[in-house]
Amino acid sequence: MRSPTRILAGLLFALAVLFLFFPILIVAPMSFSGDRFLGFPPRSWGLTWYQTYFSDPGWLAATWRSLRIASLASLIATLVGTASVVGLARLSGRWRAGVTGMLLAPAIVPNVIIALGVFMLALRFGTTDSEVTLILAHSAIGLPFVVMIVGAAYRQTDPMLEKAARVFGAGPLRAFWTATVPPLAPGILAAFIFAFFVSFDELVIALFLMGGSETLPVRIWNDLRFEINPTIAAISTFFVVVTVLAMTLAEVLRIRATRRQGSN
Amino acid sequence: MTSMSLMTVTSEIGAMTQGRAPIRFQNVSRAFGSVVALDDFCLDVKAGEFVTLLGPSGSGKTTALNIVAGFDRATSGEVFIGERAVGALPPERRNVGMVFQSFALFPHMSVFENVAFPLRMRKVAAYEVRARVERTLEMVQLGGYAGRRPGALSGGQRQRVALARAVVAEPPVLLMDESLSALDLKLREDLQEEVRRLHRTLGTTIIFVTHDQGEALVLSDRIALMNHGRLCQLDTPTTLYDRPASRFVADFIGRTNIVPIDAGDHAAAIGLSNAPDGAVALSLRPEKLRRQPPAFGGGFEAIVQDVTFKGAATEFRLQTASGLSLRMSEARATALALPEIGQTVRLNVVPEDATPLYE
Ligand SMILES: Nc1ncnc2c1ncn2[C@@H]1O[C@H](COP(=O)(O)OP(=O)(O)OP(=O)(O)O)[C@@H](O)[C@H]1O
Ligand SMILES: [Mg+2]
Repeated sequence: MRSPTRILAGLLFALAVLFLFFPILIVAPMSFSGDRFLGFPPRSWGLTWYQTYFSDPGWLAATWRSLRIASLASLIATLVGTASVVGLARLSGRWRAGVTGMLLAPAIVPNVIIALGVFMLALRFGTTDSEVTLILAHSAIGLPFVVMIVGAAYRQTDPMLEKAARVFGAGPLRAFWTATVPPLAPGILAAFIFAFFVSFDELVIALFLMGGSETLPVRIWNDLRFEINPTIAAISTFFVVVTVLAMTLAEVLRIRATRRQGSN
Repeated sequence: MTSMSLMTVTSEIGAMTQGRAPIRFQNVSRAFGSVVALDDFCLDVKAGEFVTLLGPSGSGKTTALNIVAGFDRATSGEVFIGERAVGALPPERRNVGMVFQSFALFPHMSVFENVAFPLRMRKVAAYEVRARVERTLEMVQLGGYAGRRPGALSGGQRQRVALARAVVAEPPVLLMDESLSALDLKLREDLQEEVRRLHRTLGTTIIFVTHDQGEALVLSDRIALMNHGRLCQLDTPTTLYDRPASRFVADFIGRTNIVPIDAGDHAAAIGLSNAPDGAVALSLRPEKLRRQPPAFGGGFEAIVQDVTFKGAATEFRLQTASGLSLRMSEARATALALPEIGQTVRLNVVPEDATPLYE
């Protein structure tokens, strides 16, 4: 049945998707341009700009730095966030609400404010321009995502599972690892991927903290300010593909983790 | 855990496994702030006995069980499993089996791994794990299901897996909290039979929690009826049914007519004037009331207010001349014709069938 409202809804949906994908529709063809300057539509085609990206030591260094920072930051966020979720469940009422609020705050506070705060703190300790400082700041902004995703998965698990493990002979740690964690695993992995891209994409805090050694977003930013060349289109296209694949995986995992567990 | 302490744990468990253990609640109280969930609770469960904790919602049944399992601690008093006071032992060192209402099967493990879990925690050798898991699954009629995930089983099958997991390590004590309540009536009856069979074969001491009095009557050696965290009466199902000690018990177990002794002299009006001193009321089971042919003298009259067909029996709501409302349950085999609503019938009751209640 094709009612007019359904056709209208379909049309609106298509428009929305087009709107969201429009930048990519422009950028992706430009990345395969053979021209020397950014222009649309390209007048010739080629893989020159991908070659430039993959052979330029500056770009590669920035990429590796970003990957390193994002891996460590998301690892920390995932560990701390998961531990918080489990710990929060053991707190009662008012405390839980308060602590949850604090853990979620970095998702609401604008990154500029966080950047400024971290920068001033780092100035005092003399740790500006340090990857460690950036990793810690990024783990803080990744934390809310972990708390939300793992928290949702945790609420779907049966609290009796851990008790069951205990009566059947497992100590507290063993029970946690054998009964509580495995049903959460897909949620934890999804949270890790989200936190990874929160860090990998992040520009503002990195701008404040990484004067000398650029992360990938900082390098793109700096490059854009001087000249607009198609390397950026190539990088963007490459990472859009990587991000879409990873986020799809994360979303599939998240949905699996949030669905009712099989044992109920 | 060091290997040293592991050895002591294993030997402790070994010592407790000698047959079945008695369980004793000795003046156990548990308060949650101002709510007293268990109030000076005393109960002796003999080795190998099947005792049901029965009581209305909030009467402290789960609290009592949690204290035995080690999920909760008594505010005062002590629980003994065998000869041993277990108050300070964590759940994993009490060697009890448990069946949860929500099944609590590990969703990421196969049926086999679920049932093997207690054996693995006890470091049983692999070949023996396999043999015992297979035997236990056979016992609950789930022979072919070892490879499945709990998610791919029906409710009844899941509860059978949970049963198998609870008994596979042959614990001297088995705890069941509303274990069958999540299942529908037919399945519940099947599982009740299963539980009885398991109890006969294994001889484990069982504490079973339910608020379903029918289930308690079917399963138990003895029933501990609880109210407001206290033990009201501890007796065999028949004694509890035939000789309830209080109005609360008489009303909770089965259905009954409470005939007050003081007000309006209802008891005398239906020929029950022989109540002992101190009794405040009489309990008269609906099936103890009998209709008699109008030609006979004696007995008393009542007006039929409602007639309900209940399969094997017919139920009547009646009112006596003194204004007492009575329920009567009558086997359908009776030769007497069914009365109409509003009609007067002649009834008869044997004084010995009425149980005096003292509170
Ligand atoms: N963790 C807790 N915190 C506060 N009060 C509690 C807690 N656990 C139990 N209670 C209270 O203790 C009393 C007994 O609870 P319990 O769960 O033992 O009852 P129950 O007999 O198992 O009832 P049900 O048949 O509903 O399961 C109730 O009044 C309950 O509200
Ligand atoms: Mg309960």
